[in-house]
Amino acid sequence: MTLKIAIQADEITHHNGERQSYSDRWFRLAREQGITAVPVDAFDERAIAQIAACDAFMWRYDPAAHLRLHAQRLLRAVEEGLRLPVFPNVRSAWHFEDKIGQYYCLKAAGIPTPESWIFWKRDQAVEFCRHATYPFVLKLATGYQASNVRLIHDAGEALYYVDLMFTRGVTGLGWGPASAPRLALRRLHAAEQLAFGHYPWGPSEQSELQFGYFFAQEFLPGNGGDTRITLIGDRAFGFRRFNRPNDFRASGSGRIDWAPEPIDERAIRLAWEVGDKLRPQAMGVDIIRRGADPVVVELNLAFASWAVRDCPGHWVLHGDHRTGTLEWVPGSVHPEDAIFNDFVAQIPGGRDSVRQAVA
Amino acid sequence: MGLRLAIQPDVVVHPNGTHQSFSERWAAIAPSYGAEVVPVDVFTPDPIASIADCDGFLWRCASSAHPRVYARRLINAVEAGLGIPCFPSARATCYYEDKLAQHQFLTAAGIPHAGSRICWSREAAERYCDGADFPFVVKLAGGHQSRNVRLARSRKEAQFYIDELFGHGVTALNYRPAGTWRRLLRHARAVAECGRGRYPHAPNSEAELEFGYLYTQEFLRNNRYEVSVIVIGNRAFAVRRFVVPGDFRTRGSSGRMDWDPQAIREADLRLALLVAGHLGDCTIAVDILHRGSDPVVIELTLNYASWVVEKCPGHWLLKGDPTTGTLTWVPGQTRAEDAVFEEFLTRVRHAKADEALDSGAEIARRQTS
Repeated sequence: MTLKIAIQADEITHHNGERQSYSDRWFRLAREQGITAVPVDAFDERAIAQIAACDAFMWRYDPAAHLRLHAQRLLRAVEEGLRLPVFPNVRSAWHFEDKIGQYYCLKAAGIPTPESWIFWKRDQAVEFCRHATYPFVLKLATGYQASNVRLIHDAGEALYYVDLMFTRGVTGLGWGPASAPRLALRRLHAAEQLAFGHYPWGPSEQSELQFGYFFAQEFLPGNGGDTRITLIGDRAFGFRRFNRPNDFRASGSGRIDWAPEPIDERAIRLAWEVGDKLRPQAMGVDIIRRGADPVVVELNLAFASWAVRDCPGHWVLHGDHRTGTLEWVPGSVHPEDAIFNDFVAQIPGGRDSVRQAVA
Repeated sequence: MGLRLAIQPDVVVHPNGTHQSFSERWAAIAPSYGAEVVPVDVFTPDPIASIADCDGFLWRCASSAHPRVYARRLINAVEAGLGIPCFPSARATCYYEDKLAQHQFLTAAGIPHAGSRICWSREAAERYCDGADFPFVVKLAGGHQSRNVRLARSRKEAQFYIDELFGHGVTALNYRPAGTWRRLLRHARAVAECGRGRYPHAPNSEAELEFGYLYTQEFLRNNRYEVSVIVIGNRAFAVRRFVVPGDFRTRGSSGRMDWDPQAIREADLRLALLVAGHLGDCTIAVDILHRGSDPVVIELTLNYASWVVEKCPGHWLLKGDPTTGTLTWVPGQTRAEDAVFEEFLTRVRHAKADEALDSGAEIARRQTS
């Protein structure tokens, strides 16, 4: 009997004009492999019934709050309620767009990270800011392409954000500290907006409200960028991203070097360590250095496919992440294809489809 | 060697004055099970360090948003990163105080539950309400003891909730639909608060801001009470909670209740055990109403009051499958804390045994290769 995979459509256009649709490519691959791909509207009330008639479900969703919160619930329900294979599964996605969850998870797994401090009580956060070493990096749990990451230079600035995080909450770290007259103006402007029916500090489809915590991370100077290692199954794709001009952040800068030679082997092995311990279906691992040692700053699931596709090859690890050999496999790979083929191979009866297609 | 269990303290005083602390009880009984307790303070900067050397982690956290949202992250991280069992399990924390996730899970698992609808956009919500049968029940994802549950009697009332949920968002369904003047007054009050530097719709330590969805549930008439079945392992405890006169809701464990086992139908028990089996955690409370004579799940709860369980004159013990297995009545009172602890210990021991098997297999593999 033909394998049936329910697929939710996705499509975005990146800043560089690259159109990306994992689902379009998955539909094409399914056709080539004799698999029935069933389009699903995840926002339709019959979505679960439609998925239930299939053997698996795939949805490459975006980090935007509205989509993500729905997708995570639905995928979990399908995985745990229908007990069908899904992409991404809970193991891969529970910490997506949650830097706090990622930090605790990496820490628990014994993965080196920049030193971080998370406070759940205002008093503790205030105390920390009074005695902290500046600058440090302030982060929200959510935010991608370096949004919601700020360098904090002094206690005054830090306490401004403590106040926001433990009073009204924020959807972004856009507005920084300001003079008293400017703050009064902001307040008046907010009251005016509210008078016309718009709550200025409310959440949106893009961002949920972040409230009740303070997440600080040590600033690691001397990093001109980071290394992104994308793990898909047994493949590791690597490239380096350089910081934006006059900035300490690299994510979303678009300044990428795909040359494999300068990539530190220890960064690749560290990414594999993350992969070995968390066993995700796919994951982007962002790595910087503390002195000479690589440390993981963030995990990502919604990586841009074009950046992975443009890698001139990838590494396959044979053996243990510490001592195993890294084999370089030349050639470009579409991450959509790698994810699809790995996923199908894990569905009962799916391995034959992939094998025939590859043959 | 005995087991080491990391335990986060919890304490709550219920509206009836009962002091409840699962952690205190666990600490008291742990030695008799050969377990050593490692007290944890999850609010210190490095909670993982104190959990890392343990065989399991227990945190019976309150329903309030602040600890709950944190607990979900920490427990998921501990299970994924340290690979040790937690109570509640990472899976359970994701359904805890999230009725939207519960609805999708119950639908996917094919478990009968009250007909529900989630609309993810204002347009979809308005379209749905245009054709809906009234009254229906409006719920927020979070909220316990019947909080954040309202009856929408008309299209106009439904519009009020749509405006709230797709406008500024709400932390609770405190405000009811009102006339134009009253709504204007509320609005003016919010503007004035904002001008004074306060934040009228901000979340707080008790409640998150609920935004961007409308969750409705069919109104099941003629239910004088709901049945709350608390499942711990293969034990089922049950209580009936009566609807408040003049209302359609019960008051959770603060209202009138009845522990008579004769009044509990077997179908209700089996349904609850089925849900618990699907979820696979140590414990879950399943709230059940009836559509005609058929039981349907209304809600799942993790933080039931332990005194309600203790007042049960006995429990039903399931042997076999929830649908066809035998249910035996076991008389006598049980403390929920003890039953949960026993159940959790069993899981920890299984996890340790699995770990030993895995490392044995790994050694054998290395020797062979």
